[in-house]
Amino acid sequence: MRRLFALEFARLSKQTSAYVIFILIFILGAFNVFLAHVTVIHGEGGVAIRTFTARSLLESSFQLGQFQILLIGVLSSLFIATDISQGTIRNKIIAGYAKAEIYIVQIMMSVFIAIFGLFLYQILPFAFSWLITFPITQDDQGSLWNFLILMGFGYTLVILGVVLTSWIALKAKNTAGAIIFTILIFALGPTLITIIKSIVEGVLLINIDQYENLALYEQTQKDITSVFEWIYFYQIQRLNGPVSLFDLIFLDRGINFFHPDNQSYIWKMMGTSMVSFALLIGVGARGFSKSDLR
Amino acid sequence: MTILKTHDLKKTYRRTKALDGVNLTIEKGDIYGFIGKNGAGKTTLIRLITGVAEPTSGSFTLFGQREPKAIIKARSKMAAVVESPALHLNLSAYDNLKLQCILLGIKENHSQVIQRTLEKVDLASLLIEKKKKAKNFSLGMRQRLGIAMALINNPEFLILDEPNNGLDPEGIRDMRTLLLKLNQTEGLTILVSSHILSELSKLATRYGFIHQGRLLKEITSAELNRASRQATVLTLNLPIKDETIFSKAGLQDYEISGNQLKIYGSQSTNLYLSLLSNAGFEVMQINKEADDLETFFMKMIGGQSL
Repeated sequence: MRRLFALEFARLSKQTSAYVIFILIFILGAFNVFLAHVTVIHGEGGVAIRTFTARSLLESSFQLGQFQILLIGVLSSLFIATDISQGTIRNKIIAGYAKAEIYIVQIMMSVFIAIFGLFLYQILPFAFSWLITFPITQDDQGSLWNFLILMGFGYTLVILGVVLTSWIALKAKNTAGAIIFTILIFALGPTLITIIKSIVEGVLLINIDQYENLALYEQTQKDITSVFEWIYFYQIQRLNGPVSLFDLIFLDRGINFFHPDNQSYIWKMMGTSMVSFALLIGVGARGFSKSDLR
Repeated sequence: MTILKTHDLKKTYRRTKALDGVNLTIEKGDIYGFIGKNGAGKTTLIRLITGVAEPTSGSFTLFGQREPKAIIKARSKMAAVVESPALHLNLSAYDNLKLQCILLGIKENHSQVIQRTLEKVDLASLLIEKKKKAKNFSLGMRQRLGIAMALINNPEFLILDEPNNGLDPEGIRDMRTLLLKLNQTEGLTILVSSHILSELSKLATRYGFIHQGRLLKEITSAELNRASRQATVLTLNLPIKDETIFSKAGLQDYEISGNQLKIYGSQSTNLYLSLLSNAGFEVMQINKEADDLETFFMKMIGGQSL
């Protein structure tokens, strides 16, 4: 497996598209800093009352529909799909590697691409937010550890998305198909999840906390007579913009993971992530081992 | 020593039987010519052996190993070019070979190994054009680079699927010379599938004939020579319209086609010549003829052309 990793890193280092995409992601991160700078709100006496914090960094980094996440997904799909469409994956099989081994290495490479891509995107915003709001715990995330846990959740979700698209890229067996599926998943995935979530919430009539006008919410809730109305009147508006990853994991943005009431979120999230990874890697590797390549 | 032995190997794609119980044996040192029409199952069998596809049923033994995990390891002693050469098209020949070195875990200096391999397949000129990408190579160059990649780790068993595709006559001759040299000097066992049967007949030491997913026959080149029917062909000045001149004399094993008389086997031609002379024919030309590989194969599959 060590040789396979060495090969994949050598292959990635020789792929021009990887350099282009990584540079683009870095530039987007720099642009994020610029954007934060120009949107600083000044209060009385010129004092900044809203500034660029670790929290704003997190919020801007983990929007599924955002360009940098899409680029990460496209790069990992492209990296895998080219190996299959050019037939070079056959060289690995003929060289005496098991298909399951090849599959796992490919998935791990996409995980590396996701982490490295996010790191490149966040390095400048992180550095600037650290400089502005030092120490990092000054924002409403609580402690540094709390911040890191939240960051870890964000990374986990992006990695899960990328692993899913990599699995599809391995199934699609052609570059164009893999890229199209990746874009669809990252662009439409959050919307689809929102719809599913809305249906679940509609069925359970769960009070969700993103409604700022609670009085209006309570008033209109009384008028709800069907699931359809719930979705149509109160959920459809959520499809307008990109969905935050933190909405998807049912987390309030200001959550303190160290509060006893919120501990269960961590375990739920970790459990769900582990099951998803196990399914995508275990079942995927088994399926890949039995499949025929081009 | 048996390098490869298949046991009732079958492969079905939906309802199509691509391979239907193939039992094939390749011994060490063989150059095994694998012959069949398009869609006969040649590439399918190669894909199963190389692990690119999985058999529907049956099994095979590679270097004496039959267990799936042991076969995967045994594959490190073989190399293959299946269908088109598997190259990183955006990389140069040098980079392609370098990646292959990394994949195979070659510890020796990669540049030296690459140079030696390219010289072996007469592609040393590619080292000068270090920046030329594989996608800009001609089909023949890609084919040779694919073979160079296959040979980089000195395999014991080489599988080539239609290696002459895209090669010009000179390239075909060079390929034959290379394969013969590797077989004779390095003892490399080779399985080669090809449509160009005249070319295979100059190369192979054993043949396997496959048709509609079934292996019809395996034969050595010596057996093929014996099985090929020898004939003496007499070209006459006039067409033969009355065959009775030969049948009345008790002659049987002959064939008439216009002004040509084909006398099979080792029969003496003297009797024929005297009968023809008596009947007023003049012999213009005498030739010796034997069935070539293509004729042999076509007879075997019932006269269907390749």
